Amino acid sequence: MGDLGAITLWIALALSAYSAVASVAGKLRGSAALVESAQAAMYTTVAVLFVSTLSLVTAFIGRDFEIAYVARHSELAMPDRYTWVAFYAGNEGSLLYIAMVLSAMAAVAVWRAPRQLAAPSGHPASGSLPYTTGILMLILTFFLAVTAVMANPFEKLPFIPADGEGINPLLTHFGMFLHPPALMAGLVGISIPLAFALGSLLARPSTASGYGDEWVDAGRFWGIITWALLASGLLLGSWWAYTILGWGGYWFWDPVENAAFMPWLVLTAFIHCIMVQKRRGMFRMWNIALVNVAFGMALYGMFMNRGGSVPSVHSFGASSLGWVFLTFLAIGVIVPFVIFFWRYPLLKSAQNLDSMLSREAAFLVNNLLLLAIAFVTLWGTVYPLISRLTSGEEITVARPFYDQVNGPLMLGLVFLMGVGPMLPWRRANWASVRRALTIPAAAAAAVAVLLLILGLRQPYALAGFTLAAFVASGILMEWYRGVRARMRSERMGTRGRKTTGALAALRAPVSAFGGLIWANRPRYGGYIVHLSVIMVALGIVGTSFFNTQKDVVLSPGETTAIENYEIRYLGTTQAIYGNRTEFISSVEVYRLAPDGTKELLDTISPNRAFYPSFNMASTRAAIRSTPVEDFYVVPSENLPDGDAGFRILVNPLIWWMWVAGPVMVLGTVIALWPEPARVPAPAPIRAPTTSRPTAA
Amino acid sequence: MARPAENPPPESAAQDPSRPKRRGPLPLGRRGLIILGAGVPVLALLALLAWASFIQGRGGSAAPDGAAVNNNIAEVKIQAETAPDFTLEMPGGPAPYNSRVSISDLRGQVVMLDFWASWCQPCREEAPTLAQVYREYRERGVEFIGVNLWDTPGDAELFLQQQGHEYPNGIDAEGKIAISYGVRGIPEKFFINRNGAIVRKFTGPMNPELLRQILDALLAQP
Repeated sequence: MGDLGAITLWIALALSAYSAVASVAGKLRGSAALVESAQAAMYTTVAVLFVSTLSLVTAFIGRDFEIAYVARHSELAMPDRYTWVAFYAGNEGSLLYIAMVLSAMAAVAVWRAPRQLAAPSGHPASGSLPYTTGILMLILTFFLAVTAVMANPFEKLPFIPADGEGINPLLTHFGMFLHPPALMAGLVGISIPLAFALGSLLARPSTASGYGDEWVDAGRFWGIITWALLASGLLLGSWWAYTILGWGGYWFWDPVENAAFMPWLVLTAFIHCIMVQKRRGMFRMWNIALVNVAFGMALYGMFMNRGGSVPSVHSFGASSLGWVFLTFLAIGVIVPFVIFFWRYPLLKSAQNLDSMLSREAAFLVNNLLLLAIAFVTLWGTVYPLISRLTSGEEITVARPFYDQVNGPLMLGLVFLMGVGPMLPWRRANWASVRRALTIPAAAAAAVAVLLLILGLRQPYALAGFTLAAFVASGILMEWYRGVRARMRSERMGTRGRKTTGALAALRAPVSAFGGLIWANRPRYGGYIVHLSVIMVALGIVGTSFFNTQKDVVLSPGETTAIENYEIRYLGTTQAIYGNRTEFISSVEVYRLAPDGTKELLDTISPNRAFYPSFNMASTRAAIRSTPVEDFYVVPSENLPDGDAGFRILVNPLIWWMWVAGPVMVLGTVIALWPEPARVPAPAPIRAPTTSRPTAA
Repeated sequence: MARPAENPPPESAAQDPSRPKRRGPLPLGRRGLIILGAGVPVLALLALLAWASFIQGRGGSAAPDGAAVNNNIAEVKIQAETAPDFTLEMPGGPAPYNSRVSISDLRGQVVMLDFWASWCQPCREEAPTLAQVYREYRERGVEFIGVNLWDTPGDAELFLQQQGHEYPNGIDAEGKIAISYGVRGIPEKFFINRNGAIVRKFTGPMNPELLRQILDALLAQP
């Protein structure tokens, strides 16, 4: 199987290199045959790479330890389901995974590309798509070349070991099934909006609609897809860290976390600003600059992951790959910017900013804040290197730096999330803004007063909760108004038909709500994503300012209290497995009532496992999660006499953060659900108005 | 919505040729400024990364997944137990140990065992405290041992030179000592009494008052 994998890998490399060259040559020479053969080569690459991927999976399932990669990342005792994780646990396999994902995404993107890119005049070489294909295949060729030449997952050992080294125990967690693949796909996926943007710049289309707007729909679609992949990856990674790393936190400001966070921030700016270009033909330069920056930051993240020069807990280990990825980073940053400045004179806005009180202006401010956060984070990431250069000492920037600088910027963003969607395009007048913001501002003020009465004095937390109320109430108000308007119009449409009963009374608002969301999916999908961001914000504020932590050592039978909880440590059982010794503690959790009585809530089993072959202990926290707070117990050490050390945390509101993930995905799917071709004809008769509270 | 209406081609080809003329040197100047403003930092960043990759070529061990930097001082309650024995290699170490020190040789003295790395900010913060208190207590039956962890050898040596540490320091290259002591982050300190038992454990940077208080209490014990 290994041979098949290696051979198909080389074939894929040849195909993608051919596709890159043929696509660009076909465009330059106006040859339909070349362009079409380049596309065929690209589709074939997907199939060939799939065979290669499958043969590595088969080698893992069959524990073919002659293959060095399989021997290093699996063992006989490993359950088959971890093959999925083992596949990308090391450099070689993860590069193959990235190549597979990129080729598949590129194929779908090219296949589904809109006509104005693919063949505006009916001829396959007339659009910008051949350049887009060429750029994507060039990037794929890079990854395949590195995989085949420098980090081949099918490399064989000179002998066949009896057993493999096994999988890193920290990776055997559900979060690991999705966190790394989502992040890697998101990082490499930024190539797609980049390729559409650069392709359209290179092709210099001169259609009547002005320069540089043809790529907007495709760019937005793939921008949002990669944005959602990165967001899911980041949330899943935080969840993994929270449940398994055993320090009770979820975000470390580690350079590699930052490296995925920065392109996500820039993409967030992009997916907002691209709407301005779509609707108003503005910010053409800015959007291309944003895609370039996002791509550069994604490459920086990959460089960091592959033996980058910044100290981090995530790296695959120093390797000569660092130089290769640094070169790739340099090319990937410089070339797009050269193209950008070469074509710069073409990118004129169709209009000017009408007013600073408009949705366009709100987007612009949102962009500046997002970029500020991204650059603060970048500065923190490279600061150790700068300090080394200037003072000869490498000093990492600790968490307080990021919290202090990024915290206020993030609060500003949340505020904009409440204001921006309420502003109309072009120009708003103060009266309408006041009308739109009265209810959210009142709700926010009410929350602030309530919290002050309850004794909350922490200014950041107060601001955070108040702004969260501001945004959430604004969204709910929009929904309420929309539903009401829709119900009114639906009643008019169905006048004469009798509706009776409680169920029918409920059905009307529900169907109106569904219809409302369906009628303007980008807008209402966006609102749902905004709500999920507010949920994350609740979790961050709750855990940053109100969590309590206690480190204790308990003897069996002993109790300790934290906040209004008490735990009783019952004892620890030891279980010895082939690759690890597990210490499973039993802990009873009680709730202490103010009158001194206590009620047994649960018996939980935090566990800690020691893996001798990795010299590594892995912990699994026991978490009792509720929307109000998490009660979190993680074992820190097991002493020989049966005593055990625990870290106990009460983390308020963190539940919301993990629930936000699925909500965010739902919102993204709604926002991206393909629109039927819009015909500027009168609306259907059944629903005479697609009533919208404000201009969408 | 009404895209054709909102999206006219106002600056179409008819207007374009006049633009550069009217604006004179401005378009080029503005473009040049943007190129400079964006290009210089980008190139500087790339150069910085290249330089760091070059420096890093010498290797060194990175911190493993989940290792924490302890920014705040905290005591971790532990059960007294005999300090696991280890021998620390320290080429060119101070007299009387010279190149190696074993924890079992230090019975009868109060020992503070400190795990640190040169890139760790709180470790840097507390370094002067440790050097100062060591000078005060070294003649009174107290020994400090520094164990360098997850670091590059060159950085560690430079750090020791700068801080002027006089107590024995060595490198735990494979992290074995850290594992036997259950170290989860840096800095982490273990206090070992005269009988060779670990009696107290602290995470985070130490302050001089607390350190003196702990050492006095341990010295007062038989």
